[in-house]
Amino acid sequence: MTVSEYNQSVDLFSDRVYRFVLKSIRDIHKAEDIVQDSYEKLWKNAENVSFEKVKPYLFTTAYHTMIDLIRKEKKSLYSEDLKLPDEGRENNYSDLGEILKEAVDRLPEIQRMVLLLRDYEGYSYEEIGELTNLNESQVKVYIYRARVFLKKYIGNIEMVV
Amino acid sequence: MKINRNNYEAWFIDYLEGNLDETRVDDFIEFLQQNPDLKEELSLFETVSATPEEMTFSKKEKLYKEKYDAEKEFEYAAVARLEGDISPEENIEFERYLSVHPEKQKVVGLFEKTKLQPDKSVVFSKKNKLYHYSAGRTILLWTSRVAAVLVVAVAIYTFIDRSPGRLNFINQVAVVENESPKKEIAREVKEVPVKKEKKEVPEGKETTPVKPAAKKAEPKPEPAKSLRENSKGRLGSDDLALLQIREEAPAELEKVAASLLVEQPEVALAVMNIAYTEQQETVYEERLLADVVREKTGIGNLSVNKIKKAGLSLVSSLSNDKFNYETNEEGEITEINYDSRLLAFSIPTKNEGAGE
Repeated sequence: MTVSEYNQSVDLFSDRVYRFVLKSIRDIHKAEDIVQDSYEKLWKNAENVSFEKVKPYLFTTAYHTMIDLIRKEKKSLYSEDLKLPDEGRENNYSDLGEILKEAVDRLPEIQRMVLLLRDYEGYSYEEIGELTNLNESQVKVYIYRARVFLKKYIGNIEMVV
Repeated sequence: MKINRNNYEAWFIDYLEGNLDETRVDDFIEFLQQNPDLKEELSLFETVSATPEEMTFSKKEKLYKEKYDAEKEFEYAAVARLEGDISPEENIEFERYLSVHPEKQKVVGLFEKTKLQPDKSVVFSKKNKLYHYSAGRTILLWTSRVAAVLVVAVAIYTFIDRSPGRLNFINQVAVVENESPKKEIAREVKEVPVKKEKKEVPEGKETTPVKPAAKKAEPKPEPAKSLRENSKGRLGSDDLALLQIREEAPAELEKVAASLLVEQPEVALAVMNIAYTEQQETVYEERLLADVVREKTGIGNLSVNKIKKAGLSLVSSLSNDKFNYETNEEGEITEINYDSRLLAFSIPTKNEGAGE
């Protein structure tokens, strides 16, 4: 990868990686640090990474950095203790986007990250598996569980409306 | 236990259902013979037999369950359909199920709403920290940074210069006024003495009007010292002509001031030419080497946008990141931000509007 290709990758992918990381860990400063770290690793390894592989390289690096960070903070990656909103709860949301955003925030990190890779970046199960070191069926299960939870969450709020 | 009048009912039931043990049959018969009233009661039981009626439940259809009635199966199929992961056969079956159960369409609609859309307003604002440049490019970058800063400095100077500019122009006018009339005066002064010399020659001959000639000779050096003194001191036709020249001078000088503005951008362009001259030198040396240099340094890709970015990056680093700019996916600058304790502002650039 040439220098100009590296700089081009900044223009092309830094916003996307940033959105993925920010949405996953919900901390602006940490997200910025992780994006910078990912690009720093890419720069150090620029000779071994072809331009076609830059995007998955960045997402893989960012993903694993996040996983390490979450483990350090002793958060549960796989917590299934999902709390749905009370059915009788007052609806304070202006639109579906807000409801969905809150629902996504309540997902366990691993499910959220896998779902973001799927929806934001359109990666296949197989590609997500390669990025995250999970097998394809695990990816499938996480996406399935995440969607079911989101559907129930939206459904509960809409019932009130 | 032997049969008696207290427990005979259990014996009767066993007998009627054919469950009475053979060893007990004799006792049972003996008991019935001894108690004819109970024998009669037993005969009543024998006639009672409930025969089932031919009845059918007409709403069995509602009770039948399909595969997709199981919540998990339905959700799995709905997610698979959303993900494009459902097989054609399953999809046909699922569609058929939905047509029969229209109420389930709402659930499918909810699943479709779980598809997340990226918020494109969220952008990484510190791209300038990520860019890297080669050595040649760095030199070029610094050249362009300096050029950009110079352009900014000249632009600021131009803006600042405009407001008090009128005063400057007046000063400039005054300077030029002094110069131009001086030349004219000098010429006239030279002319005057010629005339006076001519006059003096005849005066010398006549000898009588020596005093007026001496008086005329005295004011001659005065005009060379000061214009004002001349104008005040004299009221002759020559002086009036000088005054007329002064009135014309300001109109011409305004044009001179305008030409100064034109010269300023040329200063910035001169700096740009330095970068190109380097390129030209390499061209003369060897063409192939020039191509290599061009590729590595990215001179060929030099654009106004990159110069802008370079200048802004320098300002950003000088201001400890208080000054930042944002770019879109194509690398064009979309917004300029400044954030300090006292002041914060954000200026969207024209590129953003054009891009959208």
